[in-house]
Amino acid sequence: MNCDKCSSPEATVHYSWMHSGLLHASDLCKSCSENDDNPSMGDGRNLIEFLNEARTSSSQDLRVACHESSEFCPNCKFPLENFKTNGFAGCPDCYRYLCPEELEIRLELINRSLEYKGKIPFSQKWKPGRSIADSSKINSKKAEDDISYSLYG
Amino acid sequence: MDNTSHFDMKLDEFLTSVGDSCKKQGPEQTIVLSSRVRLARNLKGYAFPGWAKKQERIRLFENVRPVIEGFNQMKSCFSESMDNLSHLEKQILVERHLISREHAAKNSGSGLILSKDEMFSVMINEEDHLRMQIIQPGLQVNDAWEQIDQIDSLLEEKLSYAFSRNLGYLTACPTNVGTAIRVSAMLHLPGLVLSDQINQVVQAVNKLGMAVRGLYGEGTDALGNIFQVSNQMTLGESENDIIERLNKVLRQMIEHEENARTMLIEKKPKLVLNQVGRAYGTLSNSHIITSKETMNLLSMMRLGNDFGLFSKMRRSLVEELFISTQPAHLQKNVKGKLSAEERDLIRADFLRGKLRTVSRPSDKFSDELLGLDQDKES
Repeated sequence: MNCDKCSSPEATVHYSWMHSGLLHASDLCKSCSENDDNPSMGDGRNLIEFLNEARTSSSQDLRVACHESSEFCPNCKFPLENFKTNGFAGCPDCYRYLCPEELEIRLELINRSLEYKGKIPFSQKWKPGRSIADSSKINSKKAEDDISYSLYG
Repeated sequence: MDNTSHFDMKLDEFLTSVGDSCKKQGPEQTIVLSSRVRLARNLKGYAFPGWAKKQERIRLFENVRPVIEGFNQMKSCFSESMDNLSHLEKQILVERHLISREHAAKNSGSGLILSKDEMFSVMINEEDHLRMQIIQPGLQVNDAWEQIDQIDSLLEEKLSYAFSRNLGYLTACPTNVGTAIRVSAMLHLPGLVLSDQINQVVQAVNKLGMAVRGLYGEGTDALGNIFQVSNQMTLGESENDIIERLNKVLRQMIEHEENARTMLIEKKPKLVLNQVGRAYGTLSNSHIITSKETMNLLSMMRLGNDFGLFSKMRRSLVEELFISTQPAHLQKNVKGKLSAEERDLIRADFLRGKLRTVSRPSDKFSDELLGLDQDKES
């Protein structure tokens, strides 16, 4: 998704506000979201600053360098560089090969936590005693092992 | 007017009439028009629709379609490839919130399966392989989740979902990775708008990690004072946590809207009477009217009805008019393609006809609403 202000493909913050009776909405990149033009919270703080503080308060420094990763997804041949420019993946397997730091940055900006706590498909073979809560960090090798396999496979 | 094409389709025969579909009522219907739960699911071994080649999309569609059609819940369903639907049919589906605007732009390799009661629908090869949703009238997000969770579990027995133990359900866009759930409710909030409190409420809801959007979702205006509130986060919370948190936010918004309405009656009764009276006057007497103006005036009619200012007018009439006056719904009753100007004429004629039997609104609030009955008793 492109940033509404600078058109960078890194828009990760969505916010809305009312002005003159109309609902306005914006998708911004992290840099523009920190701009002072955004709606104020009334306590002097910029709304987006407030949101970013809330979202990143429990996470580590997001300014991590992107490590080397594959150039193309071996499954669908999706150029993984495209993930940086348009924000979409080519196939489920791309998640194995995407730069984990890049993915982490994106997910951290949207979510307060990276821990998956949702529904687990019936078909997943869970090892007794293992909880998904054990793995809150994204690890490409782990992700590779963890991609779902066919129902009866 | 061009008379070379006309509206002739099996979708039209399948869909419930707007009047009948608007008669379905749910809890908190005064403020909550509808609740929706949407799940995104993708299949292992296939490229996401945005990257897949046409033949691959068609192969997936043909594999998935009979699986979904085979469920008991889908008996007598509507199932069609998007390339077999006309532009008009697609727009009608958008106006009824049965498909997204993005899906309306899809053709070969994408499709729609819609249950007989129109509450459950699956878009195949939208942004993700499957985007399924349950829509219920009023505030029923829990019920909608229970229903879609059951269907999802049944589907999972037949289809191999792309799932990661660390990330959850894998989706084309990482903003949906995890639970891949979007829970939303459509709220009618004229009280907060008229009392200039809506901005504060929208910002507060934003702070809580919820998105506030317009009538047709992302990038659309809040026409008719209708706002869509939905979760944004899909990691770090279970589906039940997300729903519980959204429910709390919605309860708060309902309370704020109710308080705003009470305050308006107490402090600015003439403002409300003026807005409702003007809305009725314009809608029932216009000869040219745009869709946007119609939506905003119908919102005031609905508010007036909630305040008991219209005797014998059912609320579902206003909701029916919200949909029936949208461009594609107007177009379907007329042979030939209408221009925007022609639609404005037909819309006005349609509204005058529909509102002919509705008496003008009362020029005062009932004693009960003003709390005068209680004063007398005390």
